[in-house]
Amino acid sequence: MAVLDLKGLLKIFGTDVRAVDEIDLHIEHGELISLLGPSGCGKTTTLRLVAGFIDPNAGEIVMDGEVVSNASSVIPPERRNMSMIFQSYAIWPHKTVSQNVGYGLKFRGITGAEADKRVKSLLSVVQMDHLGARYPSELSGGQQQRVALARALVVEPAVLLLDEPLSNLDANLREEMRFEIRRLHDEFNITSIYVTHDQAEAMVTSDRICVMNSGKIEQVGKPSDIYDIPATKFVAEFVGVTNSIPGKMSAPGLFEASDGAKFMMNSDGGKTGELVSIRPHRIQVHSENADVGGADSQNVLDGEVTRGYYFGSTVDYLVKVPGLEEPLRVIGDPHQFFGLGSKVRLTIEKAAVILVSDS
Amino acid sequence: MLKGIIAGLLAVALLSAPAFAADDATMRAAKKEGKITWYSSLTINIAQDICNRYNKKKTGIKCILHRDGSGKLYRRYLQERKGGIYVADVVHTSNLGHFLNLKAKKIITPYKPAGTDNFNEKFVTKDNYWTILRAGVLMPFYNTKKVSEKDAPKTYADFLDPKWKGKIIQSHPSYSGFVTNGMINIVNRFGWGYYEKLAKQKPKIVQSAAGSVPLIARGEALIGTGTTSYTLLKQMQKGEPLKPVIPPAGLALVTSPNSVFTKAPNPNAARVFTDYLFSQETMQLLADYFLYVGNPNVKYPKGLPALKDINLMAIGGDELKKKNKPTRAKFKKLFGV
Amino acid sequence: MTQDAQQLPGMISGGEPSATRKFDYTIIVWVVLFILLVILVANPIFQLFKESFFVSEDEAGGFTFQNYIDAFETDEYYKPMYITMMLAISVGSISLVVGAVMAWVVSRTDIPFPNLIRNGILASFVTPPFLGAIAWIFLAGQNEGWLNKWIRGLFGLSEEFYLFDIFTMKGVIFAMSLYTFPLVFIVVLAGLNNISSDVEDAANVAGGGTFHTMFSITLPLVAPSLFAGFILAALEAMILFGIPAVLSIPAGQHTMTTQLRAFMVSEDDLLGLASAYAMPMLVLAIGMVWTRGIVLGRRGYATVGGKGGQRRPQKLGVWRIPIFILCMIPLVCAIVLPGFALLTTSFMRNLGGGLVWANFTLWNYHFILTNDAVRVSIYNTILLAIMAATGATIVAAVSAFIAQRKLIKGHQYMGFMATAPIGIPGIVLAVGLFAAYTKQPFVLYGTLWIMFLAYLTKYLPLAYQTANAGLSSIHPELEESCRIMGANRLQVFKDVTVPLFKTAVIASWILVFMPSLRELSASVLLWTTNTKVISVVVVAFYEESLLGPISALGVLLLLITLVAIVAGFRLVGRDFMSSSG
Repeated sequence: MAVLDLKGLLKIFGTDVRAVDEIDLHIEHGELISLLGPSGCGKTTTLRLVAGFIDPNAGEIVMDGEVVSNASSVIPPERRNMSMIFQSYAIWPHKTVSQNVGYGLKFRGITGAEADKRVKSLLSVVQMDHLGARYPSELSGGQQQRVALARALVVEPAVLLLDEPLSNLDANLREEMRFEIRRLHDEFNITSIYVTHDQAEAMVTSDRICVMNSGKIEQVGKPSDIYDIPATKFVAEFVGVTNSIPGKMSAPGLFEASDGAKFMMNSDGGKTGELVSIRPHRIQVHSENADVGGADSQNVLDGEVTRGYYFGSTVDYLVKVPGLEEPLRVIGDPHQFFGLGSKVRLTIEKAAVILVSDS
Repeated sequence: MLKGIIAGLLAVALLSAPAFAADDATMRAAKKEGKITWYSSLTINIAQDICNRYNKKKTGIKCILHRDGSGKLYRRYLQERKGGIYVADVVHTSNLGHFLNLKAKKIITPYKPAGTDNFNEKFVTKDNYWTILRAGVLMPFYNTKKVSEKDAPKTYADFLDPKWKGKIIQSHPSYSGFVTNGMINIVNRFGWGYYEKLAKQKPKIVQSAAGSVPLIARGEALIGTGTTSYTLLKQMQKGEPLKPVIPPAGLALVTSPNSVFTKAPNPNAARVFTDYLFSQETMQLLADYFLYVGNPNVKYPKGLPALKDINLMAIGGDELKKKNKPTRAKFKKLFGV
Repeated sequence: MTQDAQQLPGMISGGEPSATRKFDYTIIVWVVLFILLVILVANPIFQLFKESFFVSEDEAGGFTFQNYIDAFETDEYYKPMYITMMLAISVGSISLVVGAVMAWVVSRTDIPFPNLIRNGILASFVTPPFLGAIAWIFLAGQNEGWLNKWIRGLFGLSEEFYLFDIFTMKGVIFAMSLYTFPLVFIVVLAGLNNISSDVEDAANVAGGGTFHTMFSITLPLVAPSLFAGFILAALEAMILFGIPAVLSIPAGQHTMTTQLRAFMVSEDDLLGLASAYAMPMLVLAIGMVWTRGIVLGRRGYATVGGKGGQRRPQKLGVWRIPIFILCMIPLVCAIVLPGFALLTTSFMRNLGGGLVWANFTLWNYHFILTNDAVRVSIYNTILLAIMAATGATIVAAVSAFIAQRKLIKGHQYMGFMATAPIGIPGIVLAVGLFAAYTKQPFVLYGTLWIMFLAYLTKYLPLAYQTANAGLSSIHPELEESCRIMGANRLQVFKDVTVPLFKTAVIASWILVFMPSLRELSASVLLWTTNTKVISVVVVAFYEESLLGPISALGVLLLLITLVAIVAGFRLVGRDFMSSSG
């Protein structure tokens, strides 16, 4: 049960590689927050800083008001009352499932019958109670992951750290385990940090997502905020698919693309930026010259289909629009299919045009 | 510490004193040293027998045998000396030439073993730098199961008969003083042409004088150009199908000296052990092994021809010293190894 | 995602908090390793180089090029080089064919008893080659060899007839190939196990038969392994001392190793000449190891097409039994016949007496057990093997641990240092050690320490590769997960690292222990009265043709080796001998 604060956290590898570049992050008690980003963005380094495996060059990590890491002193991992789930599961091959799960208890003064009871109950939570005597080499990947979860939870840690826990599982199992992790979180309510490069995983499991890039935090917010109102071009493009249109604000509520097309948008709240992001499914496709009405309440654009892939539940179009350098990507309704070369009319709500900073 | 100094003084006294047989004081000091290392080219079963018998006496001195060929022992000692390592106390090989070198460099020291006063004069020296422990002749021989007496070689020249091609064993002179000695004698008599022709017979080369005996006994080759008489006769006594060839031209006599090293780590034990080597007991043992010794009182076994009955070829130490290296080099040129 | 962090330079995995890091122990580790490397490799090689330019006399001599002129201009010295090259190429080629075909048969076909063949090959791998050569004198001597006698008897041929003569260059090539083909087998087997049999299935589907597939698909795919196997076998043939000492000297032919030893035991001081003579061997050997490294890549294995995947044995059909018999021939020649020959000869009174009860004796065993040299040598052999195995394993385990866990600065050079001696032939190393440690101020000659240094240097690369392979299979996360569960560094080491690393350490120990038992090429130049080992006593006995006692001693040595192997199987499991590259 813990509140975590990362303040100005800096980690430099070698002489000048700023793997974690002065980040600030506040994590509430019982919250599950994802660190989302591509390889090399610093998310794993951040996690390992929190775990105490590496020490920061500057800044501090505060846990329930106590500094656990700063540049001059670091509490070692074993004294932080944290648990961690590793990418490789890190199940000890020379210990049985029960021995793996029960290992951490002895350091917390829990032994004998009480320890056995806790191990058994945790194994039943992860539906592994019948396999306690097995060795890890006799388990499937998903079962090993469940053992890792049980081992991490049995010690009732203050903080749970998860380092790409599902990346070694196959697709079906990965989907199942996402829900499993969220279910366990709801059951135990442990403050958790979840590192992943898979946006779907982050969306499903997290209370909040922290998108990282090049050692810096791009945006922190609820999954829906991250998706609907990305703050930066990086977030918009990394989380989901989007149309990024370069240009500038020509008047309040009006964005002018570099090649001349104009977009109306909701009040920008004084934001500045040189890009707008429009999600493909927020664009509606209509037949040529269709009456769409309300040209002052929505953006109306005419274009020509240059590509259309049929996916069953959707159609994925590229539509060339005059005044835009790049064709717009549009997700359309499959009941009305437009072939290659069709002239179409597109409508976009003002609220779907999001101004983002180009960083 | 004091004991060490006394022992040291005693050793110095002994070294500078004229060479005389060991007395009680020497015996006590020798027991304190407790061991003696013998570098010996005497064939291993005899040398080991001597050591074992000595050790069984429980004199408080342990005999440690290091058996190798004459040349290897000589090199080893000089190499160890170069590194300041002194392990060996007593040395015995079949290369008199080496002993001349060792004497010139004062690496060996005079010592007259007890009981050698009445020895055959050919076995003792005036300056006592060494005493001849044993003598033997280099004997050609053949396998009696594979070769009839009629077919067997009778002379040195018979070894050049093409019918023996690939069936001869020749010992390598580089490691055996016995063989080098014999070769020089034969070259003196027949010239290098003899060995040039012998090389064309493609003999198998073994690396010690005695090495040819088991191979011919097994029938792996049929005739040997020369081995130590004592090895051959001992194996014949044991029933191996072998017989010597005694060519009219004669056999090379090889006398093998024994000395004490100047820098022996166990100087007293070295002298006590040397006395044992020349004792009636060991002399008789060597005679039983078909070796000739200087002691006139030993009984020689049946089958050993008396030295006076053999036409002997012999060279002096100086000649051996001079011709040693060129002989080995020439052998390598002719025989390839 | 962990890899992006690990690849960054200077990262200290599981780094201790800076507050508690009071002293930088990097410097101590480096100094210790540096001194070790200087003692083991740099100084001997430097002294070897130096001696080759000086007149060697018992008193000091001056600078000269004469040693090189003598070594390369004299016909008798030049010829052994030519002979050695010829041997290396012949033995390499024969081993390549035999080893590769047997690897294919074991890895890819439905041959009966594949484990019998595998274990047989591993057994010939640990048989001391010089014992095999001696046994083959009994078997294939021109006149009295049992095989020749048997054939004469079978066909009623004359005494003059012989089929085999082991004392020829062909005999030397035969005997060498028997004990070097396992090297090719091990390397090619590893290569084959890395290819999925999908590629073969594809060839079968396209209409290729079993043998066509082998020659056109499978073997070309493992070409790097084949090349590496050839290099290893040729190198072994070049640096082997025991077999040529036993077989080619009687045939009037020196190889480079026996010539080198002849220089070293000559009654003249030829250390300079020997050093000059060793140079081409050193350069060639290092060159060969280097080439092999380039071909195989740094891992020492040829990896083809990722994961091994499902394996479907190729059907040999009617050839199944004939090929099985063909595969047994090298094994029978390498182990069964020599073992039988040594065992029976060891109980014979007269060597020419044959296998009859009247010829039975225990004298040979009595002789070796009451012989000073033998008793000292048994003690020394076992003591040295234990020392070398323990020393090499400790150095290897510590260096591998530092390298893998990136514990100190410059950890990436650890592997290079531990495997630096890999190309140095044992006999050349021995000349170097002899040159370095027979003179003041470091006189080690005459002690077991100089032989310990030789063994340690010779087998350190093997120990390192084994320990490193074992350690690299322990993911660092296994230790980190232990840490985060509440264990401190010591507890992690005790609960996770040691249990998981133990197997590799034991395997490495046994892999050094076994060849140390029979080490000859370095020992034969370094032994002294009190530091004899079994192998040099065998050679010394051989030079006096004491064939009976040698057989008894050989049986004894094989028994000790057998005990070590059985212990290895018990402790580590069957695969321990193939666990290193």
